[in-house]
Amino acid sequence: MTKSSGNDAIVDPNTYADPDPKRAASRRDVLGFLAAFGVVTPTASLISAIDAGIATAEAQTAAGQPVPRLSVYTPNWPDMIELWRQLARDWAPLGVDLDVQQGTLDTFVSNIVAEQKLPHLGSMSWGGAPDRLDPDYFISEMFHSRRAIKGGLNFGLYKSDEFDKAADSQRQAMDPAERQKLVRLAQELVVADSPSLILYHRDIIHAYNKKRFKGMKPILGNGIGFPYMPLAYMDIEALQPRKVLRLTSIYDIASLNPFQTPEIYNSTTLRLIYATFVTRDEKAEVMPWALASWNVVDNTTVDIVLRPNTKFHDGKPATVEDVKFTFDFILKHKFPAMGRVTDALESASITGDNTVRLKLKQPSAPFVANVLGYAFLAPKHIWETIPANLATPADWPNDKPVGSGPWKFVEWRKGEHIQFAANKDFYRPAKLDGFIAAVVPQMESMVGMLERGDSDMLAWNLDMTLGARISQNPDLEVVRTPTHGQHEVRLNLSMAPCNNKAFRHALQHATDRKKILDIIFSGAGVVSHGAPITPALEAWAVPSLKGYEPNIDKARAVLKDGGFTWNAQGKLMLPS
Amino acid sequence: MTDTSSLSAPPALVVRIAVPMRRLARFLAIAFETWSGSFGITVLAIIVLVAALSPWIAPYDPIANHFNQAGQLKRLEPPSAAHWLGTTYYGLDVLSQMIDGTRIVLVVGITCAFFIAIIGTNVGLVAGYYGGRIDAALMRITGLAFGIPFIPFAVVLVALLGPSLWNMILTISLLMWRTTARVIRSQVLSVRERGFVKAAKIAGASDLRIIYVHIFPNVLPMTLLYVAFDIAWAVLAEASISFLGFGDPNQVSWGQMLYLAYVSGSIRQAWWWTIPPGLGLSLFVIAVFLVGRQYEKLASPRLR
Amino acid sequence: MEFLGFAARRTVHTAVTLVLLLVFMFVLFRLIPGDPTTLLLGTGELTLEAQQRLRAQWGLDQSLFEQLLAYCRNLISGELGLSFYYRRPVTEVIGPMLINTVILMLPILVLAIGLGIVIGTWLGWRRGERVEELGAVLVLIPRALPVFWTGIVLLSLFAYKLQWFPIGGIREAFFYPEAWYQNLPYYDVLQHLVLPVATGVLASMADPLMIMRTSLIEVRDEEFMVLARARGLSTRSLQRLARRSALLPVLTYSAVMVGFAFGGQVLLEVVFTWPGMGRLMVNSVTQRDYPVAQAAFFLMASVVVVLNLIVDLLYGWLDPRIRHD
Repeated sequence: MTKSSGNDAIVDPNTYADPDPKRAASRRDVLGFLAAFGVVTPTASLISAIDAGIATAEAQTAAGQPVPRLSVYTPNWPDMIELWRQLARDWAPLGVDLDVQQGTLDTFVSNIVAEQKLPHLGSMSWGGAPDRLDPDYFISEMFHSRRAIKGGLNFGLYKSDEFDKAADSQRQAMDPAERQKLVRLAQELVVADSPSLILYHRDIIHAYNKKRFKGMKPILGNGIGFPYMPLAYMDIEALQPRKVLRLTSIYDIASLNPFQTPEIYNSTTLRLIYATFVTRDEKAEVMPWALASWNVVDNTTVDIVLRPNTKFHDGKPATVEDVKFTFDFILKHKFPAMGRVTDALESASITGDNTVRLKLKQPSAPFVANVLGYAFLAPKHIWETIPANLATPADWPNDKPVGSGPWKFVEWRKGEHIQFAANKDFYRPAKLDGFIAAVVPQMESMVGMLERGDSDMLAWNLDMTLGARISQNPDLEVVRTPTHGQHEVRLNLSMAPCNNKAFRHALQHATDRKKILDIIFSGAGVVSHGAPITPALEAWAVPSLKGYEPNIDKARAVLKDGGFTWNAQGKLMLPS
Repeated sequence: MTDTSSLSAPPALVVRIAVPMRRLARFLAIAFETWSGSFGITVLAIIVLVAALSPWIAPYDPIANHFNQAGQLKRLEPPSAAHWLGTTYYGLDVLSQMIDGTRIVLVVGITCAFFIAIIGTNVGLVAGYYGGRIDAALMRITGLAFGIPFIPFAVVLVALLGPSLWNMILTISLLMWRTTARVIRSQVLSVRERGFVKAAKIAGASDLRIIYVHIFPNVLPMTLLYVAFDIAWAVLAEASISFLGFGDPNQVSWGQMLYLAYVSGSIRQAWWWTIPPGLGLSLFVIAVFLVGRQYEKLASPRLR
Repeated sequence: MEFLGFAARRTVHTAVTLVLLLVFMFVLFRLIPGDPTTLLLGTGELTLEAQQRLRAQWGLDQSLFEQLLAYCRNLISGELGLSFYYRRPVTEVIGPMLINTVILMLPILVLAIGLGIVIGTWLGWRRGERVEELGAVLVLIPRALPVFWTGIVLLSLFAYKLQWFPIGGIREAFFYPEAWYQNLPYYDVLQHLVLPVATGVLASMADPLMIMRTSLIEVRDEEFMVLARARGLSTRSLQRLARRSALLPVLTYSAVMVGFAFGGQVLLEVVFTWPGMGRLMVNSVTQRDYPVAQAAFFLMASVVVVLNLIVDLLYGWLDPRIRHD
């Protein structure tokens, strides 16, 4: 179970029919070993192995043939490995065998997303980033045929005209009620076609020291500690003299320049300093942040009103000039990190003391949430005076970031910590004096620091069992928050038998999601109903979906109806 | 019964087996000369035995999840009658994993040591014997191997080739031959000046013959010594790479066990999960050292 | 004179090794699938068009050879380039990490070699006695323990259970001195150093120790020592005499040790959350941050190679037979 089965194709096409899987496996090992020694060049080895696997799989799709061993590619995380062990057991009664290959995340992404080389199956997990609250992400980005290209997330190559139409319509439906109908329709189509097995939405579990601080605000997808939602830290109060919160996080930022990187942790942390125009509240509803209000005039026009008396951290007042400057700056330099702004916005023009009119390139329902929730107010007087010798302003170090957000920058020690002070001039100032996010890459150390009192909040995803242990400490409190993120298994719809709808549905019925969630995540989460949008997002979820009760007999019935049969050894045979 | 000249001449086959067996027995006896050596070789013997019998003596399948009567996962349970070494985070039996892990120890140790011995010895022989440009070129390559930091390079190779056991063996073998090559080379430098080598040369023996028939047997003890220690280093290297998360997730190696314990945040609580693999690795390496030290005396007579 | 020839030859060889290393690392990193923009793709945050623009901006769309040439050109003019991940000069990224690594490494090396020499002499002198056999075994035990395991055990005991020391990092992110002694200069860093240094010393002490011991045993039986003993020198003077002669192999090994210490700290840095070069090297590979990875690897490698050169030159100077190599 090491290297992909592809190498066998080079040597012995009958390997799949080998009745002794152990012998075939050891032969694969030897071939893999030889391949590793340079029989195949390193760059090509993995891709060619997967390629060959795909080629062989396609060669094996003659009608009436046994279903080939399904090759799986997964990141090498412990929970993913355990997931595939469970799935192998769940699907074995269907006469299906798996060949699991794993890679580090970076290699996984470059093979699957960049090169679009998904074998039969692949697993992935998606976090609760703020722009994913808008249904467009999990609908268009993952399943629209437009995204079945290199760099796109529709690596399962799902192509459905009906779905594309629904997805495109919901994107442009500016009326919320109509959009809701279209979003639900799109999801029902996805459920009917089953291009992906959405497994569960794992809860976010954070912990904090309740003897020292209170006022934590759990937000969907954010928990109490992630920086994705600026509102999370705003109402935290100290119960002891020290009014600076110390939290621990696994990641560190890479840059203080908000135009530079789209990476989620970095960009959201910087947006604590640079206020975005709108943000989301506890109910995940869009609310004004740097703006006082906005008005959707028509399909392609949005008027925004800047909040009066806004000041930057250096004391200078913020005006509509800064607003217009920010949008012009982004449009002029076309920062790759700000791609969603450049894709959506046509122009920005000042129409009053506090108002700016934004013209969109095309109607876009997610515009306010995803573009105004991502673009931020940048100080014109600083950004127009940066050195001219840089290739792009995104390369400017910006060592003393100045924004208008609720938190002022104090210090960043690379790889160690980043420190903020509360901006008391913000329209709704934080109750703390400041907070420090320390970089602690080990869960072990994070828990230890919390338990010893070295830190006040553990702002990374805990596991429930760890959480149970921590809650036994009377000083500590564990907070569980649902998320809109998800774990899924994607099928490659261009390869048999994954291109067969009955097969996909059978897998849905054979998978025991609850048991897997219990084993891997101690049951902390919501089992999926099959649609990509979590039931927790009531505005967009489809309420009528029942989900899948694990039932092998039902799965086998579905297969039989689809024309599948089983041979004497119990192996699944393709329909003739 | 060391006298083979008894009245009834023993069958030739028995003699053929008896003499090498006696040599082997004498060879093994060296290990038992001191208490430390005895301890070492006993531990190694136990590990080899467990590895060989592992499918039969392991109480459960190492990757099977265990549930209690109520159907709940037996997660992180301390040692009990059903699970002598308790269970892991996903409810797997620790004892079965420990037993299964002995196989990896031996596979990795012996395979890597084998490759390291082949590469290192040959590089050392060729470089030491020919000298001049060939030596310079080979020493440059050895210098390269010395310069590259081990674990970061292992990470690079795993990113390149994928985290599988064979790739790890490859990584370890690709770098760790450097010490052996150096040592063998300096040995060859002194051996090649000796009388019998010069005589062979004069007699017209080919280079290959001189290297492998005359010089190699004299550096063999040193080679074997390093092979022994390399087994230990290779096992530690695999454990280190696995501990950092770059190991083969499909193999139940002791390093992988420690990685999973660490990454699940249980390493301080679940002592039954943490201590056995660490202890196992330590005992194995100590045993190899102790046994190797006994044979060190063969290779360097002055240490007797 | 011939020494100079030898030295020149060796130096040229070292330079060639370094160049080979550079090219090797350069090509190796770019063989790994993906590039610095790949991880950003995985979350759907970067459109394909934006990614291609970024790649063009960063010179990643040129052929391997062109990139290598550009890199070498920059290197000669002292330009290590910009980190793709941080968009800052590579020196700025590596500098603080290098300092952190040295802060960790120096005490470990000094203590390991120092203790190794002292205890090795003590043991070597008592060759043949029971205590020497026991001592040799005892010394090998910490050497055999996996470094990360020793670290975790020490952490569990001294940092978590007894709470004598912090559980990681190089300094507290939020350090508020309370007791008087905590105001001493560098107290914070020092208290963070104790456990990782202890772990490192335990693991690395055995090698110089055993070399010293072996070397001393060999020296003890040399003619000049027999003569000195016959002349009736006191044990202490004998020891001093022996030690001086036995020191050379240890010192040369120390040079090699320094090189290895650079590359082998990843485990310590992970267990003790130490922000040093080891973690930087590993992270830069994962992030495909080529300039940083190349510079870091090359830096580590050149330290080892240059040290080996110095050792070679030293041996060549001391032992004329070697110069004919």
